[in-house]
Amino acid sequence: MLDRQRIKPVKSIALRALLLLMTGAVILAGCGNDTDSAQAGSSGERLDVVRLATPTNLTGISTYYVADELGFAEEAGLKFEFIGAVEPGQLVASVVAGKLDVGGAHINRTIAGISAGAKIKAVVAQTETTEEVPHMSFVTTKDSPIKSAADLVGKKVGISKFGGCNEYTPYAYLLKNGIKDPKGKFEIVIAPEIKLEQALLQGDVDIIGLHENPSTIIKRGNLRVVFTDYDVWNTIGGATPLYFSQKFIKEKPDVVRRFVDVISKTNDYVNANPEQAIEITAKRGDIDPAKIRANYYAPHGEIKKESAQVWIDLLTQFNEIKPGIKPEDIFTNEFNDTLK
Amino acid sequence: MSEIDDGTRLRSYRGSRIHAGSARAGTAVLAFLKGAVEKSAIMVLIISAWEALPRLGLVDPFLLPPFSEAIGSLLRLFQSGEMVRHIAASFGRSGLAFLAAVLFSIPVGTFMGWNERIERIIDPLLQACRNTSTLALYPVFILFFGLGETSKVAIILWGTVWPILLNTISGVKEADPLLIKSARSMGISKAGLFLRVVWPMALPSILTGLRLSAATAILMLVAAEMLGADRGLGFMIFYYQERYAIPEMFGGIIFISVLGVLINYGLVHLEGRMTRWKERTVKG
Repeated sequence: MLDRQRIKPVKSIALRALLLLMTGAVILAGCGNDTDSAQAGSSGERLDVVRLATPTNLTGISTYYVADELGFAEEAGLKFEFIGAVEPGQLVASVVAGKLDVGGAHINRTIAGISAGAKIKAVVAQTETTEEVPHMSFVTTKDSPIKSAADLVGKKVGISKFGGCNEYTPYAYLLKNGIKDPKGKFEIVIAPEIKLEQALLQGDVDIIGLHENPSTIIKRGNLRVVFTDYDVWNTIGGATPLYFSQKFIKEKPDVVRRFVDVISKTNDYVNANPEQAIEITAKRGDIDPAKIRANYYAPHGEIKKESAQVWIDLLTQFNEIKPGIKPEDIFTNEFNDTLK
Repeated sequence: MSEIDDGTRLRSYRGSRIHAGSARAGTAVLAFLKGAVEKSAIMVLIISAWEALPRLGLVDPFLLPPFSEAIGSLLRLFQSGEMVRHIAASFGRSGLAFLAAVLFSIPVGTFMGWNERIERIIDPLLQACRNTSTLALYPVFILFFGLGETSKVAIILWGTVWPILLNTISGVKEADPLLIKSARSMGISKAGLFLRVVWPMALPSILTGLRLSAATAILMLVAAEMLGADRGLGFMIFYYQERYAIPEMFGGIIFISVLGVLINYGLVHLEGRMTRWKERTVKG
């Protein structure tokens, strides 16, 4: 009697659990469905929606905001939809998952993602390194004894993440200055980038890597720049192209073409009118214009082969990516009509 | 509570298997198997779905690699000795923080549970601290503890100390006043009162606190090792995520989960053994 009573509820519990699981799966699948990507514009014609990550922690000009504000996007029949801030480390995954249409960060992230099997492709270039506006600056205190590459050996280097530009820019700097096998030559300490300056001033680390301009760093008075990526690779090391998923490129090549066109045009506008671009970025991002640096944008949005090659070589050398990756796997300029 | 019951039930099955006749042993084995099936069914289902979704192409394997691939990566990490390095670092941090939490919380919790007025005064602070996110406090931790080992242990301690402290307080507070009074009337010393009356009565609550704290000590690793770490289980998850080594990342996540489950089971059994006297005294 007791046994029969016990068996019955078990069955119904199993049934209920199964139902619950199925409901959960259906709900999850429902959430995953993307909304219709076309939307009526103010002029009445249908605009194609391109979903972008909302620019956050802005230290430079945002071409997304400039293109949107000046109407370049709408002229091309596109509607930029800002879906919210996405942590840089999650950009590739968000684009692959189709939750975001465009991603963009330092090119080494794109290369590492593609090497790991992410089906994405870079189509248009954004910032380029210049002497005044490098991708990264490595900074120490004004009275620190660190002055050259050799002084880095045995020191504590504070960066925000392992891998990528943060870890490999200092390795490349040591290599360039004749210090072989740089991995392990200094101790790496990881902390969020906004906390690094505090850690440096407290003496927890000896040198830190920031994505800021030497001029703004020096302005703070107590800091000194030891080297930037410009010292390592000149202008080719700091490319940050935008990429789409291969699925998106295949399904909507026309949208990609128009988007590339908008960004190329915006790049050239920003280089010609940095003040206006800073003003727009500050207004849209609700930040102090003095905090925004006038980055240099790749003319016509062209992705240069050597900007990908230099990072493929470096990442391959340190076994960060599988061997045999070629620049053609990473990017294409074929959607860029301004180059034709 | 149900876990404790399950534990004793399993023990009694095992016991009857050894001592009782073959017919009864048969039913016991059946019941044991049924229990095992019931307990593992949901996990088997979820793991099968995890394995199937990327294999069938329903989910991009770059985002969610099959379960077997994650396990394979985990085994490779064990073989290369990489895992041992991470485990050693994390065990050191979690263990130290947990020990410190216990050594602090049990005496302080007892004191606070005993003195209701002090408890009333301090409770708002406790509640405020308990509900403050560790992530939000990073700058404060860096300020006071720097980026070394101290800050990581401090972050884990911050998460670990509350469950055990609050459970000790409530356990001591809810100790039966009748028993305390009768012990006092028999002229028990203050130390004796705590050792033989108050703590035994608070023990189930304290042990629950210990169990929650131990679980937190493992969970907090992920938060703590975001700061200035170069090894550890939490660090490992971020590291492989940054490198887009997704199977390795899931390997780390699985390992932390399994570790949490094992520690929980271990403590449940300890709890069962340490509070067995209760049943006996009640029955006897």
